[in-house]
This record gives sequence, C-alpha cells and structure tokens, in this order.
Amino acid sequence: MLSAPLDRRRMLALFAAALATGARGDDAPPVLRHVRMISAISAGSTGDRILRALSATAQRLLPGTQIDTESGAGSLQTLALLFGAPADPPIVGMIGGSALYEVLQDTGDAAARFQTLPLIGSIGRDQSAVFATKASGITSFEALRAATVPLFVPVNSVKTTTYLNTALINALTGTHLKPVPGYPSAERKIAILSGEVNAAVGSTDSFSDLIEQGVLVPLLRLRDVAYGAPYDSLPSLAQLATGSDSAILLDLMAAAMGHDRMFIAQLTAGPAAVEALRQLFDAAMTDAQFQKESGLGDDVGAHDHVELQQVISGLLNNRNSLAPILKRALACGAALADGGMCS
Amino acid sequence: MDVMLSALSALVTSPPMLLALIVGCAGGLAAGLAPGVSGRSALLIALPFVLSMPPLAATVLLVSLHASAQIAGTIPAALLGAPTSASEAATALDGYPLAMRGEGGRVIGTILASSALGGIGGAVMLLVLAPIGGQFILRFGTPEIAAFAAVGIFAIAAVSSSGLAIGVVLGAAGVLASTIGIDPMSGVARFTFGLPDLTDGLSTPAVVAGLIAVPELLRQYQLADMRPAPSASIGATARGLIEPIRHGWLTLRAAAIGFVVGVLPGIGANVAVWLAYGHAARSSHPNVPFGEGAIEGIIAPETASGAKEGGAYIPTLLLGVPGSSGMAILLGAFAIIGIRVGPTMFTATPQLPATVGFSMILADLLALAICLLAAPLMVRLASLDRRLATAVSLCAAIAAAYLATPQPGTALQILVFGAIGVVLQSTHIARPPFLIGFIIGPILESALRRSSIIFGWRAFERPGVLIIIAIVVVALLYIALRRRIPADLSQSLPQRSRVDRAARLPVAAFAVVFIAIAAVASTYANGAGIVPIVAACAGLAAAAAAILIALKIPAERSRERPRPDVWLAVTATTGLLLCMVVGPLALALPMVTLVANVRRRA
Repeated sequence: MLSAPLDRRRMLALFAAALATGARGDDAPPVLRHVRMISAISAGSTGDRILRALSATAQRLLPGTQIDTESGAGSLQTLALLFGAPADPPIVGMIGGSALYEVLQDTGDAAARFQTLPLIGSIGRDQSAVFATKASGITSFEALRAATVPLFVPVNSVKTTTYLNTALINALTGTHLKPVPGYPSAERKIAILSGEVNAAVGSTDSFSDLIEQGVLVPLLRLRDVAYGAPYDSLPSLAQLATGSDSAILLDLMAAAMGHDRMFIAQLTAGPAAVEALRQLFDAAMTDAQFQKESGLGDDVGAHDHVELQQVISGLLNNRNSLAPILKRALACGAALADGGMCS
Repeated sequence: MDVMLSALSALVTSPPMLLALIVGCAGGLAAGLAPGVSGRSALLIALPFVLSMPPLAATVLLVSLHASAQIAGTIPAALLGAPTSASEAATALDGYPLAMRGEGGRVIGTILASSALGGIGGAVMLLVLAPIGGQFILRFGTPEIAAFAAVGIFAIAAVSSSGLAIGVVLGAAGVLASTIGIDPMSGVARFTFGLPDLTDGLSTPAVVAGLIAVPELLRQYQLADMRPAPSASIGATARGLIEPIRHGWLTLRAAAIGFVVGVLPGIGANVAVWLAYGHAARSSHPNVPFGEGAIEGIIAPETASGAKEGGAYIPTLLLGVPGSSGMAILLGAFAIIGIRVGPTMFTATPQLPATVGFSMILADLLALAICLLAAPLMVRLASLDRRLATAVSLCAAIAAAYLATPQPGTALQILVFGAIGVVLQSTHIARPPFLIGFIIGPILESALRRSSIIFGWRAFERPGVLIIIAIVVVALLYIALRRRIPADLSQSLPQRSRVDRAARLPVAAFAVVFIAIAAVASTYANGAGIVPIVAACAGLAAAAAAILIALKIPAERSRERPRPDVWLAVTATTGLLLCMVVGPLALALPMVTLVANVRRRA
C-alpha cells in the first residue's frame, strides 16, 4: 500500500528516471513526451474523475508532457487497445476489478494474455457494503436473509463488480438479492430514492449522501476490515459466509474490490516507458492535489504494480481450480436471486 | 423570494461574479462554435481553472459556460449541413435547406432566439419549480420512462416524409443499429461479428456524420456552381429573431418538452430535441415542409435543447443526481469546490438554485447579444464556396466523430453510414426515423426490461404510466380530428407523405437484412434477442407494406425531384471517403490537435 507523501526522494526518483533515459533539460522523460490516458468508464463518473485528476497531476509533475485523456472506451475496448496499440505513445488504461472475474471465467487465452500486460498500479478502498432502503423496513442483515421474496438491487450492467458480488453474496449467505442491470449511477440513486428498488450493494463512498439522509440503512460489510463508524458494528461477510468454498470466494471478492481501478500499460510499451509510468503513478498517488481532485481524500487505497502483480498472478495461476468454483457460485447466486433454492 | 433577490443582487453587483459570467459566456460560445466541442467538453476544459476561485463565482462561470455553449452550437451545423451530433442533426434538417435558399440570416436569428428563449424558459422553470421538482422526479420511475420512450417512438411517424411504412422500416433499422455491442442487461455481444470496435456499440457522431453530413456534402458538390445569395443583414437576422415569438405556442410546448426530458435523468438531450421535432411535425399543418426548410423545424429542437438545461439542474441540485453527463461533470466540480448539493442544499447553500437560474438567464442574454453582433460574420459560412465548405464540413464532422470515439473503426462507421445515407437520399427516403430509433431504442429497451423484472404487468397500474398513455391517446385523437383525414388517403397524399417508387430497392434490401438479423438474434440467450427480433419483425412487416404501396403508385405520381447524377455521386463520395480514410486529413488534423490540446488541460 502506498502511503508516503510526495517527498523529495520520490521527486528525485522521478527526475532520475528522466535523466537516465536521456532527458535534454525538459521536465518530462523522453519516453513520456506524450501519454494517452484511457478510461473504460464514461465521462462524469467517479472513475472518470479519478483518471482526470491523475491526468492533471501528471501534467503538473511533468510539464513538458502532452497528456490526452479519453473516457468511456469500455472495458473490452480498453483491453483490446492495450493488446493492440503501438508502443508510442505510452498508454495508461484504467479498467475495473470486474475484469478479474471476466478473465477467470473466460475459456480462451484471456488469462494468459492478461498476465502479459505491463501493470502500473491500482486503486481500491475495500469499503463496500450491503444496504437496504429505509422504505423496505429491513434494518438488519438477519432480516434481509429471512426475506423470502427477492429484493431488487440496481446495477449498471452484468459486467460490473457489483452485479457479480451481489450473486456471490447470495451464494455465500443465502439471501435473495436480485441485481437489476440497466441503472447507470444517476438512475441508480433515483431508483433508490423513489423506492423502485429496495436494496443496494456498493462502496460506502458512492452512497454516503443517501446514508446521511437516512434513505439507505447499512447492513453488512463486504470486507472484514475496519471501515470506521458506523460500519464497524455491522457483521462482515466473512463472519456470515457459509460453504466449503467461502474462503476462496471471499479472497476473490477482496481482490476485485481491492483493485477496483487497475491502471495498465499497453503490451508493446517499452521497459523505460513502463518504469516511468509506474513512477509517475506512485508519485501521483501521494500528491495532495490529486487526493483532493480525485475525491479520494488522504486514504487513496493505492497499490503499486508489485502488489497488483501478486494478486493477479495468485488468481490467474490458480484459474483451473478457481473458475469452476466461481461459476458454480454465480449460478447458485442467480438461482437464489430468482427466488429459487441452492444447496 | 428574498433568497432569489439576494442571489440576483450578488450576481449583478459583485465584480468577480460578473467577470466569471462574462468569461464563462465567452468561453462557452467559443466551445459551442468549435465542431465537436460540446458543453460537456467545455466544462472539462474549464474545470482545472475554477478550482482556486471562490465557490459561487466558480459556479457562475461553469453554469454560464455550459449555458452559452448551447446557444450557438448548432449554427455551423445548420449553415454547412454537417451536424456533428444527433441533436444538431434535427436543426440542420431544416436549417440547411433554408440557408441554401439564401436565408442564412433568418436561420441564425431563429436558432439564437429559440435557444436563448428555451434556456431562459428552462431557467425560469428551474427557479419556480426548484422547491417541488425533486418530488416530481421521484414519481417518475422506470415504467414511466418506458412509456415516455414509447411516446418518442411515435415521432417516427411524424418525421417520416417518405410515408409511415418506410418510416417504420428506418426506425426499426435505427433500433437494430442501437443494439450493436455488448448488451448491458445480459452481457451478450450482439451483432459485433467479433470486432473489438463494435463491442461498445456504434458511435453516435459517426452515425450522424455518415447518415446526415456525408449525403449533404455530396449534394453540395453537385450544386457546386450555385452559390446562394448571402443575407448577412441585421434585418434578416432580426426576422429570424421574431420567429419563435411568432410561433409562440410551439415555442412554449417545445420548452416544456425540453424541460421535462431534462428533469428526467438518463434520457438525454438527443431525445428532448427529437421529441420536440417530432411533436412539431406532428402538430403542424401537413403542408409545412418539414425536412425541406420549415422554420418550425428549427424552433422546436432549439427551444427544447435550451430548456432541457434548466430541467437537468433540478435532479442535480435537489437530489445530487446528475441529469446528464454534463451535469455529472458539474456535480463533480461542485464537490471539489465545496458546493453542497442534494436535499441538504437548502440549508447549506440556499441561494444556489437562484444563482444557477439567474446565471443561466444572464448568460443566455449575453450570448444572444454577442452572437447577434457576430451574425453577419457567421452567415458567411452559408455563402462559402461549396467545395471549400464541403472540405471544412467534412473535416468538422470527422473531427467531432473522432473526438467522441477515438477508434480506428470510427472511419469505417462513417464510411458505411455515409454509403447508406447516400442511397437513402438519392431514393428520397427520409433519414430522421433512423436517428430516432437509434437514440430512443436503447432507452426504451433498458426501461422495458427493467420494468418487466421489477414490476411486470403491475407497471400498467401506475398512475404516471396511465397518464402518459392517456395524453398520447388524446393527442393522437386531437390531431386526427383536426386534420380531418379523408377516407381515400391516396387521393390526398400530403406534401410530406409521398412515397417514391425508387425506394423499393433499398427497402427490399432492408427487408433482407431484417430477416438475417432476426435469424441471428434468435440464437441470443438471456432475453438479449427479444428487442432485435421485435424490431426486425416490425421492420419486415413495414417493408412489405412499403413495397406494396410503392408498387401501386403510378410512375407519374412518383416524387418529381431532380435525380442525382449517379456517376458524379459515386466519384464524389469515393473521393471524399477515400480522403477521409487515407489521411489524417490536412485540415482535420490541426483541428483535432488543437481541440485535443485544449482538452488535455482538463
């Protein structure tokens, strides 16, 4: 986890990289004369805000660099670009943690190809939870679990981490949460406020205003870590999960949530460019202005490429055993979501 | 009232606020006139510069920037006939023929006045409805959005100058085009043929550029020796200025449509514009030449486009829920500069809705004044040499499409839809129904599927749905009675419902495609094939009807229009498109670079 501020040592390291690669007196290393930053997520979203803050910070740290920022490319398109783009200019693509689920379930060579991409770092805050609307009358997770009719959870699409996590929560605890895709973030809030849906799964940050207004009641922490008040008094998923595969599934969920925004360079990027991008990322994560502009605050939840690499390798190297467990759990979760049963 | 007065007073008496208003207005106008730079892009560009400003002054700058970008944005599209977005396409449909007839000044005046009146109307509604707007939004759920989108599909009938059957064929084709890509509801890749560029669907600017701009550019080439009489006088512009007032009732209705659509998150500007255009076409006299230079065809979309901005602020300010992507950026900016929105706004910053509303009104008025002064310069666009104008327009359309979707496949999409557009134009098939299907299709599909999961048939028990259905039925009855449609329709084919025999071939081609699509879609799992199959079947039935109708029309009753020179058409299209694919285009590249350079600062 990155926690050190942007100190003299890191700045020196950044400039050393520039000198080592033959800078001619400009601020930017020659390999970073021009950088493309591409977000899979559409303009205006939280992810887009993070990427734009990163872009602005990079521009500030490397004034000589031309930085293009593009939003809304979509996960698959971004991945395709990272696989196929030429080495110049260097690209930083931002994709979601759900890509890990997708790669695990893929029956082709996606996992092997994914592992070849140069990783830059990731951001993830590990603070997701299950909520019920106040109008639903559910005030505890036990009451949620006892509900026999499905409770509707708004999600953006079936490809999102939230959709998949909801199914996994069902499989691990026996709840009947029904994820309904087709709700982008704005419509999701309206659906919650209007009572159209009666539950929600997601990060505590994204629903903070609704929690403050008393519209949403938090019921369960998805991670067994300290969230701060009032969440720490809630049960965690690890405490309530049952089943022989629960530990594996919990680790998988932790990986996807803990690296919800992965920053990856294109396959053809040269070692010098990748190293310079990594140093830039590390420096930006501890930059106060970035923390403010991104809305992440002091606790960015950043991980460097080594940590990210360990997580991805750990998952993908065990793909043969993990994939069937994941598929079985998702099928079980889907059956429960439809009001059915799953042993 | 006190809060409103104090907000207005602070706005007009505080030098930093006034300066912010002027800077925002000037920046917005510049962004609006630049092809491909929308109000949303302008906000992204401005964001880093406002972070150090006082919160309310920063708000004024961002609001005035966003408001004024809407005012002049469609002028180049209308004068050059090369829209760069789906919402510009509606205005260009009628603005361009008028400009070609030497009425560029009137077009500019009408655009400016309609847009400004819409913006002011939207701002006034925001000021008046702010206290109760939040409750309205919360009563408008997914079933109501589905019903509303279904109403939008009715607009196909209104804008189909080639007859209802052909309109449905094109509308169905548009809906099918919108289903290309990964279906967010099921995760199924629909009609992507394994191409990565298609996984996220077609690019709207590329479709608009191909379908609308390329055929118009071709027509400009054909008419290269004709040059319209420039009408740069203030008088001509002034005549345009009073058009929205002359059509006051239409202006009012279009503003209401724009505002309501703006209030509802997730529906979007394009829908507001096309709903208003469709409503104007449906409710106007049958002889009003929509698509061929009807001034009503400019007033309705421009007013709706302006008014939707006021509406979009209601969920943004009152609920903290962005009504559009532009509002999402603004919401992010509010969070960064420390402005609190949402239900607690009335206690934290009670003057915010009034500051926003008055900033919009003042920005609209200021932008209108600046644009009026610049009108004689703007109108020269319409009297440019046709070949030069074609090159500039092509570059603008391509640059806009690339800025929106920076992928290699964008060029291919322009190429494919350009070819379709040329065929449709040369056979006199109206293209707007395709755009309506393309824009409204995804909203309707998503809302219908969500509604069926959550509500099922209970959706029809909801008062909002019943009210929308009742309004549609009453409106259709009213229009039918008012027009007193004669029993023998074939004897009274109105000016904008004629069918061309030449349409048979493209319609037959569409029918073949529909059959193929239905066959492919039937293999999709998890409900991903339902909408494509329904659309393909509707399109197929309409295609059969259209071909039968066309066969029954005697040759001499077929539309009498000059046929395009096919050889010239092929040569010009090939030249234009080759130029587009081969090059980063000598003119487009600097434009893209310039805009990208500015944007990257965001």
